[in-house]
Amino acid sequence: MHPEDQQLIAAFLDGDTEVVSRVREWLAQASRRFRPQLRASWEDVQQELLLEVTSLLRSETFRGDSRLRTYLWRVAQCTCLNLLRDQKRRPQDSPAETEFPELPERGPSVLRRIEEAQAVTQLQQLMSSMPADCRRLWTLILAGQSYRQMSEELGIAVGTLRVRVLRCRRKAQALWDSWSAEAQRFQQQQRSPRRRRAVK
Amino acid sequence: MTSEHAVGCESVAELLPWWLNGTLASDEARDVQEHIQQCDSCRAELRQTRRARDLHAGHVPAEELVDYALGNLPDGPHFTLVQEHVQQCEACRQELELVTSPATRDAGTGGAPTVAAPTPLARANVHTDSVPPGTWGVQTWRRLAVAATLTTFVLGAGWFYERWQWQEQARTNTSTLQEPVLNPPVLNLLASTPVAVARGSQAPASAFINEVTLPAGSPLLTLVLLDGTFDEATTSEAELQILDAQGQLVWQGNNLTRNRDGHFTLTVPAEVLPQSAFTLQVMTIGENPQVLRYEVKTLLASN
Repeated sequence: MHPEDQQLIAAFLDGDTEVVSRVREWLAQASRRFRPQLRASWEDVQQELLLEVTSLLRSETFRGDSRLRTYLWRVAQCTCLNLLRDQKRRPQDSPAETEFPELPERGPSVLRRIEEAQAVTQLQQLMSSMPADCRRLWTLILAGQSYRQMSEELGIAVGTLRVRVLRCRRKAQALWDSWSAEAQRFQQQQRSPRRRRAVK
Repeated sequence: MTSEHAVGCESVAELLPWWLNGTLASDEARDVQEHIQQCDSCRAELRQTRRARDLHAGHVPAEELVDYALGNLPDGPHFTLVQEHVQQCEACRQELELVTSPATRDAGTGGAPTVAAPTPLARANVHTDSVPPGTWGVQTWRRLAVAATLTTFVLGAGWFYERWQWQEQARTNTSTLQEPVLNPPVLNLLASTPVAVARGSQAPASAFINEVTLPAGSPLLTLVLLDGTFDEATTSEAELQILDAQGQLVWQGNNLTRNRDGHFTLTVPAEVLPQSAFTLQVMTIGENPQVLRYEVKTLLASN
């Protein structure tokens, strides 16, 4: 990590007024393009950006792969995009379960099963790996149902429902992490030896 | 902090999907809101919940979309998955355009960019690819035409330069066969002085220096100049200078314009870029000419 960035982070987390102000400026500038869509809650957006950055820096998520300002620019884009999606909530985008193609239940890896299946997109193929009951639960959530409504409709206790949804969410994260890890290994294996040859 | 909110964290983690879909009771929603403002682990849970929501809704997560827009996704399954989805999903295409658009007051011009077909050397360079007809206006098409002309001219100049270099090397019995670079590597640069100042006035000290690694082996590079701003009186045309560390002019491009996303871009021969540090100056042409600076420190990639 660049020494200047280390100092900036330390000063920011200590609450140095000047550094916090500078970071606010960077975030405001990086998020400006989203202002027309998030105008109604712009002050809240700026506050959310600062909280997100504070949380990420405190968690030492930033490893110095880029300069701090570049990292903050990316965080601003991701946070604003997520806030935009929250705003839309997308109840109309819930996919019909029948649209998910069926994957072979067994195979050497998630990536290999996806390659072997015939389906529309890789993303749909990936999500087909999720258990049907998880997809069903999330379909109802995306349709805008409260947990009480879902509990009544599915005939299960509220507490049980909440725990099941939490487990499904963790399965989705594990699936994504597993796919990402396999994709990285696949990419490393595909690197051509020619690329390693020095070019004069 | 986590230990103080141990019980709260468990409940909050369970409630997050319904907090996101807006169906929690007002007191529950307020409790969740207040909790995640103070708890780092629950903020991490919120990120994962949003990711699960997006995946189940059939969309790529926001982080992957932003990395794709910035050209940070390496060639491979990640890149292919996002590109494939963006080509088919109108909503994500619009979000991609939003991420790559300049900060203007009137956003949302409609239409959707297509993404370049993948090549082994391509990144998500949505700034220089041509697009099919859509719902764009005349202004956008005019900018596209000018950007395409400029890009063609620069690439043609680069090709002739490369060809001359090859002939020179062949003449001296050294051979450096190089593949034609159809899609040069992309370097995204952030403005060092993000607000443009009047030409001739003293620019403030650089607040930010881009540290970039110059890819070895490519004769051309595409530079994308991000987050710079000009006031409304500025015209859309500009010229660009590259200065070395001593302030000497090493390269100049005239009549540079913005591409369809509003970013200034240019493709230059890699050899014109000084090896240690350089400055890009974008200077607008018009009634109130202004200057924008990008400071760069360069490192050569190891082979």
